Amino acid sequence: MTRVITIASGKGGVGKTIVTANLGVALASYGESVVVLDADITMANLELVLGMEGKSVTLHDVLAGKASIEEAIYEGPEGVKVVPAGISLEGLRNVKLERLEEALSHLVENTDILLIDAPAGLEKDAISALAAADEVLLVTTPEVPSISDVLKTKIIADKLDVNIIGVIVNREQHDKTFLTVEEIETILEVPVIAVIPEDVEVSRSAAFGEPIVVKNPKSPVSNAIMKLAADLIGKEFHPIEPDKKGVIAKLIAGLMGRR
Amino acid sequence: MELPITRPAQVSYGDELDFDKFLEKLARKRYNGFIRVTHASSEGHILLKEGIPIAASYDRYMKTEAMEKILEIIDKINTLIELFEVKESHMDYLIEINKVYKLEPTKEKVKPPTEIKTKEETKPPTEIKTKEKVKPPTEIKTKEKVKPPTEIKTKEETKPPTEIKTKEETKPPTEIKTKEETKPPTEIKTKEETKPPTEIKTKEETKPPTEIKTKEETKVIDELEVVETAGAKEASEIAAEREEIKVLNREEVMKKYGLKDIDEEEVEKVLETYKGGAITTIDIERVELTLMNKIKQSIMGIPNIKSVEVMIFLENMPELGGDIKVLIERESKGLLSRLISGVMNEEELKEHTYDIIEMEIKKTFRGYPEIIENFNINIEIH
Repeated sequence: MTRVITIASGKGGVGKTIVTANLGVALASYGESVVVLDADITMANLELVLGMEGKSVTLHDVLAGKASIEEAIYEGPEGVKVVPAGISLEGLRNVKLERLEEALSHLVENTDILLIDAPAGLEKDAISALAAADEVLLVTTPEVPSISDVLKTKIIADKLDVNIIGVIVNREQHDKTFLTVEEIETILEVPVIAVIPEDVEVSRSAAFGEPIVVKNPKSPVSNAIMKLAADLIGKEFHPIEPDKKGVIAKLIAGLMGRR
Repeated sequence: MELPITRPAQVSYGDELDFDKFLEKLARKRYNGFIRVTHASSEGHILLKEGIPIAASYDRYMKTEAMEKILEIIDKINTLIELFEVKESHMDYLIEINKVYKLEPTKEKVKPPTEIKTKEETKPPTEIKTKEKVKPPTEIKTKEKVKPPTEIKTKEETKPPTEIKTKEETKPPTEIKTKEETKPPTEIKTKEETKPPTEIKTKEETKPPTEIKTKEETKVIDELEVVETAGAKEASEIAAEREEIKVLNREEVMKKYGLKDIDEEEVEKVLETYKGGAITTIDIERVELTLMNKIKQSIMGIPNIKSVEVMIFLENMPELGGDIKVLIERESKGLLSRLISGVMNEEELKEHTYDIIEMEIKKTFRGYPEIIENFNINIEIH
């Protein structure tokens, strides 16, 4: 049976899309048949994170009734299947969200896990993405505005009877100005199942259209995401140790462009 | 082990960390929490209370055996060591739920095999039998939960004074007894929990063994009952307290960061927009009536219109929309008078009526001008 998991946040800019893309790749690397669908039809950027921009058929076309969902599926890193939303605003014309449900029913046929990258906010498109799921993963940064918004999303998800798997605290920093994991759990009344540390490498890899779990699997961020993926499907996680190169070796590698 | 996995306070690899020093550091800090050790497909935990390992598990191993297995792999290159902090108030609960993993090194270490032998020799078989009768297994269990050393305590109670003396000297649990004797049962418990074993020892040493003996003999059953009932009470109290603390904490944390839960009404509003419009069935009838009157009045403002019939059928699923049908009857005039007065022809009137209807819809739903696309407009002119 296909697991439909929506990754939602409430607030934009918390790293939801990057988490979704990397989680999809991580799950696929464990041998799962994974489809990642970008439901953020107005501010889509999943395809940018996965280096798959410029595809001819996108979710926009599917929702406009111009193409079937099968035509909008593309293969990404580690065999993860991706349905890009399409980044052109022109594609937004004639989009009918009601068609999303039908598109999803086609997607789940040969898939183990369908990950839906939900839009930020609580507009109709965001709620549609939540309502379409069986389970939800909430992504937040340890900052007050993010927590405030994710709390609203959590309440809506509860109302829609969607099973909340847990919270992913993204871009965590050892800084007392931010909320602690314990505080986040207390406020949201949901367990924190993954803590992804702040790492500039993540933004860099996204800019190059390469998921961090592929680009630098030894990084703490990759290990956190791989562990989350393993936990989600009940597989064993084997941490990959970081490089123990010396500072000079790293510097030389960096200068020679082999980082 | 059943442990709350949250954000690790520290993450290291086995070959990067001197585990002995790490444990020493935690002991000095009187750290409350646990260490998670991941090596290949195996995972282990060491629960620490005030920096001292209390319980251990590793793969399928428990207690000391688990500890030994952890120490075997702790310095390996691909061993991940994570430290998690736990609130002091949660420690007792964690110890309680993980009691099967509890380490019992003190007993083994303190009592050398020779001592045990002598004790066994001195105890007649009849005494042992009576002990078993007096203490039912359930009672012993409850004691174990609250106070780990109670097993030893019961032995002491039945043994002759000389034996008790020697045991008290070597074993810390006897201290508990002496406290119980001097203080009421409820108080004793709290004291036992809060006072470290070293303090208790000194108390025991100062108390004469004869006193202990007599009191023990007379109060054995009473004490056990008290301990049992107090234990049950304590457990329920702790559970209630924990619930209270949880609620309070959330309120406090929410207040601290200026956060508020969204109320039910707000949630319903958000969900209604998703379900297809934030208006109820009663509202729809009102909207139909209002829109109908507005459209009718506007069309009647066009010259030479004899009568207008407007029919509106709104639907609220999945979005608000519907059908609008307008029947217009014009005043009959001759061709000449029509030319003179500049009356619109049928096509012009249709277009004008259409514009009026669109404008009225947009005026009615000011916030959602795109709603116009959800309406089918049909105009008939006679």
